[in-house]
Amino acid sequence: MRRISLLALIGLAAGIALGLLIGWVLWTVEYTNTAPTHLRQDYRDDYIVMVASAYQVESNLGAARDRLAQLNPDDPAQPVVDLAQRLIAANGRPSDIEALVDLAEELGAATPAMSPYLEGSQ
Amino acid sequence: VTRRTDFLVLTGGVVLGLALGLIYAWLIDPVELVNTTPDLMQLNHRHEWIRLAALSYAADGDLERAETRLAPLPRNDVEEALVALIEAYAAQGRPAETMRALSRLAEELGVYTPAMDVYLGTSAATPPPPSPTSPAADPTPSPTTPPPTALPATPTPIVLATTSPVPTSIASPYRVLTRTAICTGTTSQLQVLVWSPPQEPPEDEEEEPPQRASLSGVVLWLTWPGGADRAVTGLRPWIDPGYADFKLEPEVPYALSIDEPNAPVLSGLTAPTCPAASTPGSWRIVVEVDDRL
Repeated sequence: MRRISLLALIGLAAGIALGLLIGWVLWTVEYTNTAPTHLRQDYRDDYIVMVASAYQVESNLGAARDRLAQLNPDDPAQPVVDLAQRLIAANGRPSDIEALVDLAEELGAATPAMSPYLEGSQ
Repeated sequence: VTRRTDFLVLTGGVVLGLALGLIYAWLIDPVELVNTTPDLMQLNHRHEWIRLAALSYAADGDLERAETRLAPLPRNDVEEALVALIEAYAAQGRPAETMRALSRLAEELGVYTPAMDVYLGTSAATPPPPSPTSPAADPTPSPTTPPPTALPATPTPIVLATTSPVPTSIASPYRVLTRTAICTGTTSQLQVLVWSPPQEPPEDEEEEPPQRASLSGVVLWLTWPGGADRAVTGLRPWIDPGYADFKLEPEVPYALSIDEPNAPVLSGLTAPTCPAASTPGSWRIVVEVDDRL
């Protein structure tokens, strides 16, 4: 009886290990219908910059807000603010920063770090 | 018997373990859904990405950046989304600067829609080549009975003048039959009616004069310096199946084209002036489209 239990346990452990190997490494779930929120960080950042640039062309705040809500439905402005502050700190591309700051201001989320850019645009 | 039992128990354990492992790895704790790329997004998000990349190009003019952004996406997605964006923007009458930038990007990417022709500096007035077997256009409009039309409410329109424009010297499928300046009480419009050439009546009705048919689904382009608008006949069949109109701004020279925006059938058209300064003038134009040419 003890032998049988041991064999069952060994088989179970081997099966689980094999299942995890297949499920996590060899044959992972293939995601094809993802959303912007699942994008890698660099693509997320690019998405936010594009939303801000598109806002400069379209002047459609509702559309910009809807696009940003794909990243943060509770606070659509937050991704813009975060990225703007990161780019300001890292001396990012000025045109990107200006577009982000513009959009952040329109969304009522401008921060003190953005002041120089806001003053510059006024 | 013992060995067989051992084998069965071990196999049963492996199968059960495998099932549990897969359930855990695929359902309970799958590979985390982060760090994906734009090409893995749902179709509507992929198209949105392309629209954003195109609009960003319109904002910053950085072609290399736009190409990098679009590189991960399938070519047919880029083509579909870009064509849809340009056509929608053209229909909405977006600023010419934006349209030019989007058209430039599309051209760089090898994407084409007729809506972009007018913004790419293609030469104007390039009528379709004449068919070697087709006869020259008849310069005189045929005295035919036009189909009954109930044009937009024009409370007692004052007809200023009706002219038959000079025909083109080469055979063209498009011909302006009449151009009538009218004074309406509302806005200044270009009202266009597109008709077929006169159709011969059936043999048993030879006494009937040739009839023209209204043509729906004809794409009309109104272009002016720095802008363009598009309309399709037949969207208001209660007026006439071959009817479409455009709004005119005073003192702007317009050109009217059919099918393609770069082959005007009529150019230098400005809103007519009415005797009463407060009344906006409109044009009512009848165009013949001959599919045989």
